[in-house]
Amino acid sequence: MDERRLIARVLDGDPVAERELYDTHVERVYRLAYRMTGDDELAQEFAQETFIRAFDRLRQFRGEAALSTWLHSIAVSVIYNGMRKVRRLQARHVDLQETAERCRSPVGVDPDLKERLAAAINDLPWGYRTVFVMHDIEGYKHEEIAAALGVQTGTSKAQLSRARARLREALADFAEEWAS
Amino acid sequence: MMEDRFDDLLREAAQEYHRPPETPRELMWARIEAVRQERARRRQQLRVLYSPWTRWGLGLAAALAIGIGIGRLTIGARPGAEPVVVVPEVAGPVEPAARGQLAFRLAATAHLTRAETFLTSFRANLRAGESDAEFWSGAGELLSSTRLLLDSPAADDPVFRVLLEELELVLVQIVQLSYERGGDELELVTEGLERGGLLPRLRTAIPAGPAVGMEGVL
Repeated sequence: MDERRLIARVLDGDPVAERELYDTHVERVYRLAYRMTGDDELAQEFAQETFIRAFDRLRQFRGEAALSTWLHSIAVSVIYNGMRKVRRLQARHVDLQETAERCRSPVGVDPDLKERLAAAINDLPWGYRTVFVMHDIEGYKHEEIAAALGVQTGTSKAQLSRARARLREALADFAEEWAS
Repeated sequence: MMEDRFDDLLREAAQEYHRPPETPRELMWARIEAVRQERARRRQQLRVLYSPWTRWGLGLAAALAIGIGIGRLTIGARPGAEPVVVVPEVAGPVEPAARGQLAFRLAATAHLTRAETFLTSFRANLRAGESDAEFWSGAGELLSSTRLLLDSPAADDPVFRVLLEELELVLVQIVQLSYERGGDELELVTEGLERGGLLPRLRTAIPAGPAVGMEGVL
């Protein structure tokens, strides 16, 4: 169905159209939220909030970009603000947790690549991580990422390049081992 | 060359990073519908609360209460005039000046009831991350009424004065911050509300009915 007609039906209060809009986009929104949070409850919460806001503000959608782009810009904002709150709450427990984890890790033993890569991705600055997850993991195009983040396509490309460089740097010893 | 191959390896390994489970479509849709229905219901309530008719009604009630108070004062001052309402003994004799003040207390109670409803909705709306222009205009109107009451004899009562002053402070903060300026700042207002315990104290100050405890006194 034509996107404009679907939006018009949603604005007219058609519940079938609302569900159709949700079904079309929920998969990608939820996947992105899960990739960014690593937590099912948070991902559900953020995906739900994205759609609630989208339905509330649909009249403000001017149709200059695709609906999915507009929806993703809401999703990125919801996830970013949501994670800021979560991090603030978690900050109190971090010291204790880190101490416990340091005690548990045997010295000199490297965890496998996946674990180290996950830790390195988590350590990336928010912008780098978002671009890396969206492009290299979820397969978004730079144009989509740029529109969702409200930046230029070149910025998205540059951030991806820096994100990859940081990951290579973080896993340098592993790369050497792997090359030999 | 080697770098590219390592990048490919990283990309492949990164697919495991926070691998999402199956999307819980139905569960999320049910919640979305429930939240939207609840918000629509609350918006409707606020629309009624801040509709011109309700405002007129509250204004008329306050004017009526003040009028009755003044009327009773005049009747009470006339020699030989019979009191219209029998004053219960438990309430004790009421001085003419106190009668006038009671009228303002009635108006203040009605105002605090509105404030309590507004602040409860404000907190709930903030948690839900929603607000609209109508909502903010409600805060502005409440602030004006609070200031008027602070200048009235209702503020002679120390309990009302403290409540009205704290309410004024909270409303000033709410009016000054718009939703667009960031949830964090508004959260500070709700944190302040909770720390100061304003809402429970408002609820304590508001009787179960608009004139409970004052029946037959005027």
